[in-house]
Amino acid sequence: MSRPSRSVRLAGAAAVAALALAGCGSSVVGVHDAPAQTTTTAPITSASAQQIATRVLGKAQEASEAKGDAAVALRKEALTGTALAVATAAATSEPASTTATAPVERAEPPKVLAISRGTAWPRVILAQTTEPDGGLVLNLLTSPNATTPFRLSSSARMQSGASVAALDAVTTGSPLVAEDAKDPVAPEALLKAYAGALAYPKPVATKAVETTDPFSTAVKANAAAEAKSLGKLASLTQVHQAQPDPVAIRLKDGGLLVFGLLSRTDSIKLASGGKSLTPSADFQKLVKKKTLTKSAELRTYETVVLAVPPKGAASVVAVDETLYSAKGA
Amino acid sequence: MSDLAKRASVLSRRTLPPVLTVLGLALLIVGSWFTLNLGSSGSATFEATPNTRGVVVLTPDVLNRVNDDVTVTGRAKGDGQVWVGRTTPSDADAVVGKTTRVTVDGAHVRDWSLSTRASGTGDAPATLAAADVWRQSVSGNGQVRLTVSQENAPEALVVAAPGGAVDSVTLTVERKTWFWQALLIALIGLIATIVGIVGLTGLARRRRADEKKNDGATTDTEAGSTSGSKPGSKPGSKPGTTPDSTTSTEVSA
Repeated sequence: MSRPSRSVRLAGAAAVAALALAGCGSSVVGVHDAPAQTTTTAPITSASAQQIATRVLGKAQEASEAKGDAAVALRKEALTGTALAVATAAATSEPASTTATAPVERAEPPKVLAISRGTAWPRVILAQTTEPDGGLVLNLLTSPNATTPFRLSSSARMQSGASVAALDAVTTGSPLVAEDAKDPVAPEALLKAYAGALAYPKPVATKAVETTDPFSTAVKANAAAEAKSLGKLASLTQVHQAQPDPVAIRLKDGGLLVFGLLSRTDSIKLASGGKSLTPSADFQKLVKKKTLTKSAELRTYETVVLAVPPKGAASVVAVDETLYSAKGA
Repeated sequence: MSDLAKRASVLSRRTLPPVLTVLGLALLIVGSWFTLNLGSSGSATFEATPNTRGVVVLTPDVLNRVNDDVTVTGRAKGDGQVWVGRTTPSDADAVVGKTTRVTVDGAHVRDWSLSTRASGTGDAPATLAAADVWRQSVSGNGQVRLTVSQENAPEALVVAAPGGAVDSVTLTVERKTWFWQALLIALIGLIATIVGIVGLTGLARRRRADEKKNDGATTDTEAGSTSGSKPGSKPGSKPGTTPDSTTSTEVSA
């Protein structure tokens, strides 16, 4: 073959190589389409959630220790919803009257148990803290929208012997359940059923929630004992009212973990033949009276966390109570 | 060789050298341009100058199109405070909302610029940095830099200048392979150009030789009509060398 022919072939091969390099595009130069966003996992990383939980619970701790206007500002910054209502109630009540568990008195950093799944709002973080005495506290942090940071919305100490079934992995995220979800019982209906079951003297029986846990047993027993001590001098009625907007998180086994708030009202009415009552020292401080001649009313917040299995009755796994109002005449 | 193959061979010999030369030159220019612009580190730097009091949102279309780290530098006007946050694309949209934003969603290699589009009204939200959607954030005066790895892709970056304006945003992707690829293209272009030029030279030389021969044959033909056939010429081998009828008649007789 002649020399020009050979050159032409060589040049042709070079041209093909050049075209292949220049023209076969993205795979050669390492450029590809951006991947699509996954919307069915936790919206924030576990590291971010840990950082947020530490910050929020730290501020809540500061708020509980602060006094006056500074405390009010810190509470608004760190708390919201139920936790804010309870903390404000605790702060405005006499120190001796509150039995609330401080949610953030802990010896160890918080442990993030769950993050709500998906990119929508509201978003929640479930964090567990350990109190100095070893007791475990379940803390619910909520962010209502993109521009509002997480705040502590609910906090309750776990009862002895109580346990919560496994949640989905933090990175996977746990679905939030609508208030009126029908499986197995709507969170709001569940709270109402529990509130009715604790009423005194006429509880409304329910199969949805067990009332054999230490808190429920104590509430019922205390009411009966109080009524007994009043005898014929006065009558006691105890009403528990479920507050709206409970938060429910789906458990890995299909069950639910429901954070709710009840408002308990203890009403004492003196019998027409009764003379006067001498309440406890704490009560005297609250109502600023040493004796009662007509009636008394105590209002208490009860933060409850109910674990709902896929089948069967729910149980109270964590609870907190704070007296927020006392009136006497 | 068939007639068709012969024609194709002739055609390729005549058309390939100029095509190769043009293509080679193009590759040489493009390859050299990329080699010079990317440098030996193979880093491509794109810039946008939004000069906005709102925020600048860099989408996955510019952050997550490669497998390499992408470094973004935000600069505030007048050495003011500048802040850069990294989050998911949907959270970036949600937190910025309908405020004034400049969205960066493409890059032009021609002038190493970032393509932008403006939308929304009002200044950037004051609580932007306080939102709990950021996976990472940095802030400082004058300029700050944040590197996006691809492990959490897709992601978006939000650049804001609280109380001031975002002057410019620079995006740099470093990929050493790009330098070698550009260099290789330039080299292939150079080879193709040289080969093309050699081919063109050969073609020109052949054409000149043919023309020369054609000129010679014409002269010989003219001479043969008066003095007989040219010594050494083969009957019917090339135009202009055919023995004339007079000579042929003499042989057959």
